[in-house]
Amino acid sequence: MSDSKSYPKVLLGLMILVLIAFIPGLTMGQVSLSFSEIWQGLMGPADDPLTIIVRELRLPRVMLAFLVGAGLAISGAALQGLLRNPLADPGVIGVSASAGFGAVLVIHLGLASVSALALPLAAMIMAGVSTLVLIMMARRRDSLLMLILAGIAISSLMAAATSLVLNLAETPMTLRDMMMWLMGSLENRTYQDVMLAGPFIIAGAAILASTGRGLTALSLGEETARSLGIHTGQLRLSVILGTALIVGASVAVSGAIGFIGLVTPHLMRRWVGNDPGRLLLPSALAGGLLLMIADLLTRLPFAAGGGGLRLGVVTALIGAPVFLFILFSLKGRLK
Amino acid sequence: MSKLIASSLDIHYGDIRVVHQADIQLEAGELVILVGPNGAGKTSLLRALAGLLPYEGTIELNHIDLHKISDKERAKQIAWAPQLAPVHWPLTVKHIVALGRLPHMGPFDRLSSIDKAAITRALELADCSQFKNRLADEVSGGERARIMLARALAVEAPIMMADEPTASLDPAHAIRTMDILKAQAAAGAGVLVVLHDLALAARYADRVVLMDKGKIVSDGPAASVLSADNLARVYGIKALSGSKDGESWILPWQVL
Repeated sequence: MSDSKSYPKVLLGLMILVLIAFIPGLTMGQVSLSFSEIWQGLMGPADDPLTIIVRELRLPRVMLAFLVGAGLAISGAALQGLLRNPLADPGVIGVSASAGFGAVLVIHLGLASVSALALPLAAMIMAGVSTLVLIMMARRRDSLLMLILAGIAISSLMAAATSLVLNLAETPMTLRDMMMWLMGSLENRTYQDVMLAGPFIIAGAAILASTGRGLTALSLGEETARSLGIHTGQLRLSVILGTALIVGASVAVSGAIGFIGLVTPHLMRRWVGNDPGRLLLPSALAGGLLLMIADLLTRLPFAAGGGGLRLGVVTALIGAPVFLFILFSLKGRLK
Repeated sequence: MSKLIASSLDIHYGDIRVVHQADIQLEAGELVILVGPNGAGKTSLLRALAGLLPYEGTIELNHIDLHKISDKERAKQIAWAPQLAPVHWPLTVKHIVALGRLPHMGPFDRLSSIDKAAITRALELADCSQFKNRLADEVSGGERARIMLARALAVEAPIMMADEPTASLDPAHAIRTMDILKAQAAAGAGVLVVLHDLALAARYADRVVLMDKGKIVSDGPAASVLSADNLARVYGIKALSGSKDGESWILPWQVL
């Protein structure tokens, strides 16, 4: 909207950093690989062990880290714009919790071992159902407060239902499976996961990217936004739908990964300003980058013990203090 | 030439009827000022006319039903300056005024030279140029009101509506704001303004519309609408009045 020169530079810089981050994403791991080995792995025959490591294990993992991080961050940015609340994130509208419940339920029922697709599908279906309920509530009562409260209610209900399933877990093994999954991870992901989550995340991100102008206008309140020709009801539905697609698909393939959606837009505000519309794309790129870096941390040698450091734990451990720091440094500026 | 005609307008908030059977019109080139006691329904009527509130009855913009006009087209035709508009993020003044160009832009357009010229004009007119690079949450209430006026001016719409644009302004800026609105009308826009200040209303209005308890009770030149009789009946006040250099003035004096 405004003619700041820094915006394209920030986008370009982030894109370059994302591309650079792909390199350690492919070299780092239980077996360290050199550049030439990566190249060999990318180009070599399918049955070569190098090829299997690079193409089947590491490439899908890096791609998913970027997709999930970018998706969570752009939904956080869009929700913060829609709710005009710097503390909003995909968790707020209850979609993450719903998707998590769907996944845990599938593990509990033993369906996860029947088909690899059962867990992702259940997470997405639950994300879809909770979003549908939210949309219906938001339509009946045309208010943002209603939407937030409904989100909190759904979120609490789903957290309680998840606890219930954990409570009823019959064997320590299932309980461990569910806990590990709730902590979030990108280990052992395949192209099947990329193909399953990727299209939904990309579609959701495209929907969210189209809401930029409306979110910017919404900075001046709903009434002024409408007087500027923005259909605020449609805008709200777009943000909810985009978020549901992204969060459902992300939670399905990577488990619960928090704080990316909350922290990334805050970091980007320093670079591209407070306009919620202009935050969307930089947040997406930066969120992808952050999750790629967090995933690298889980591969460090000291992290290997105890079944490996979980990605969701890393993002929470780094994200929560960073978030607190940002909150204090904002002082009275965000009321 | 733009023309807005509303007839038999009813507006409800839930079960409460706030406007009843209102007939009002606004033509290009006139400054119409809507006055009335608190709770008379002025703001509701203004919002409905701007297409921002559901209503029963008919509103036609250039002989087309307002319901049949797209949001974007309506936004190009009617500029809206609300009272006490929130600014939810620390955006610069210039950035906020630039939002007035949204109705003219496609989803991925950047500001054109026409847009930029309109923004500069609006900032100049509303006397905001000197603080255009400041953040909107760092300016005073009066400056905030001028920013909102500048934002509406930047739309450069043939119809402009403003809800108490002078409410938080010092006398110099209040007079200046009315001069700007009058100039907009003189340049061909239809301007509809809600005001509490009867002195400014009597002096600036081409036509005054007086509302009471959700109904329009009088509509015409200031001298006849703001008569001693009407003021006593609707407001319960007595006012002093006179004229200076051909312009009439009014000064609310005491409660009856």
